[in-house]
Amino acid sequence: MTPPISKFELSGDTLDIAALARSLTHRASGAFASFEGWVRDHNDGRQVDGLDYEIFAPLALAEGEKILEEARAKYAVNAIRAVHRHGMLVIGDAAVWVGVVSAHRDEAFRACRYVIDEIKHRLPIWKKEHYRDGKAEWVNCQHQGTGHADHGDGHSHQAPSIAEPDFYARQIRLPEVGTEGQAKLKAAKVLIVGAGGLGSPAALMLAAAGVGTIGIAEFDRLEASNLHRQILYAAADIGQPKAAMAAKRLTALNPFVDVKLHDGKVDALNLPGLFAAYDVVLDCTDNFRTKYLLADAAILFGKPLVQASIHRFEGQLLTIDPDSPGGCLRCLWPEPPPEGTVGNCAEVGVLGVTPGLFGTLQASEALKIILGLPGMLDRHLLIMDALSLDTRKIARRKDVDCPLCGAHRSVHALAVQIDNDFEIEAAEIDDLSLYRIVDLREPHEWADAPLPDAQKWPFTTFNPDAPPFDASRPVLFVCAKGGRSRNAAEQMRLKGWRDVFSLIGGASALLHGHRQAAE
Amino acid sequence: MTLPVRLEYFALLREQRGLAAETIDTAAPTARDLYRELAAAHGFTLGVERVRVAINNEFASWDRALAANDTVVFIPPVSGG
Repeated sequence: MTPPISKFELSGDTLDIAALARSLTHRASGAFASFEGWVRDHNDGRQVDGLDYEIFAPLALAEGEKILEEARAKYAVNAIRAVHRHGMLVIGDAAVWVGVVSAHRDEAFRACRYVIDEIKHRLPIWKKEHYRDGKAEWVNCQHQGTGHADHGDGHSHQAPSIAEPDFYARQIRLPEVGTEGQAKLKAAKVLIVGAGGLGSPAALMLAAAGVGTIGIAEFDRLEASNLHRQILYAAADIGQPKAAMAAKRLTALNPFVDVKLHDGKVDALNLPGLFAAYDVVLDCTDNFRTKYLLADAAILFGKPLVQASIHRFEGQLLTIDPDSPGGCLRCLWPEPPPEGTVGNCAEVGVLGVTPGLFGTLQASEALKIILGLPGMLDRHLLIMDALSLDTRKIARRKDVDCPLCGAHRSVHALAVQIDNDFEIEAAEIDDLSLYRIVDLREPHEWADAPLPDAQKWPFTTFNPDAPPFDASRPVLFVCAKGGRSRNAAEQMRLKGWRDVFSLIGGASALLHGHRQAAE
Repeated sequence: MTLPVRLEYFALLREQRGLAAETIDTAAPTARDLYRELAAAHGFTLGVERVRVAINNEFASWDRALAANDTVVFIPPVSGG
């Protein structure tokens, strides 16, 4: 049997060393080298009873595979396999195993050494040491060098071991925090939507303060132009998914924080679940659509939301507390302005410190909410100019005419975002026969560009609640130019239909596209 | 009759006015009249329905009558992050 070329795994069970070695059996290989890291009974002069390994799995798996690939490329070995344990281990247990097979012994030894060294330098792994005196401490396994303090299990140990209370000693000293407040922070769950210019400092501050669970909702990848303000990230992260990089940075800053990733866009479907899972939400996004969606969710689902928005050197901050007489975003501006009418970061530019200031203020608001400290910004809007440092706190009140929280509400649910990719060109369609073509033109228009096989549904009889077809096939709406079909597709999608499209350019574009395809 | 009022502009309005604050004498009876005068004079692109006005550190109705030495701040929503 051909062994795996390279495979990195995490295991919660005792490693079966013999089976692992057997899995690498390979006829063309004359050498097999392996390394085992074991849990030993002492560290830094303290008696150790056992170890509890915490691994951030998505990153560890990706990084582990990368290490094996590097070793395979560097030493031209035939196969490599490595497994790292997680969970509770006792003295003598194997914590990590690396096996390499190659034609000759030299490259097998070198590759094996390379893999274990890189694993201990680069993998996001923490271990909690349980000492014989009944105490326990978390020790970060990611350290530089291979030197004197090797821990026997393959993990060196040059940084001092850390105990969670030491992190917060200076803030616990504040009477407003104390050990009781610190426990509240540990129990708190904060969701940060948007890990960019605002979300970066907010997330770092909350992780450093010991907020127990931090959710990061971010779907983007890192670009070089982000780094001047998005201080969660490093230049080496360019091109990587921001959510995973944020988790790596926050966990490195404070391994006691549980970072949860939500790497899709927030929308009307997933926001109810997200708001239910967290105590406080920070709106660190950069567009009105999402800001209004989050502001609506705060009122509809009854959770506090801290919103900040930036324009060049100026910024706004407000906290929406569903129970407060201060009202919501729509009490101030009932509808979002059309995108582009008031400018955004990409168009007008921004100095990194401006979102830095406001993201930090958002973290401050979140901490006040969790700790029950006074001064929450639920009845004011703060505006500040970072140049003049002029700051105003403007008193606000719930508006009886507010469409969301007023006496005559018109907003009762989150807006369903319509994908903007439901308009398609004839040339984009690979196989027209997969679609149910629905002609929305009136009978007198049919002869202009005949579509004899299309189902007829004149737009004058269109009713999104009573389509003359089912959802068994994707639907392509066609009209004369694409206007009615766009309108119809949008209405169908608002009713929950997913595979409904509008043909750009109408029936003549379809006939033209057909001919091209036939040629 | 004119009244002296202090005006402050936020975000886009600051850019379109070309300054952050000024004190003017105005004959406009309400905040709405004042904004419309300023919009016409300085070419503001945002209509009154897109902007909020705060008078003396409190959000106010556009119908609010102006008083001498009011501080009037015009605030459009912003969305950068």
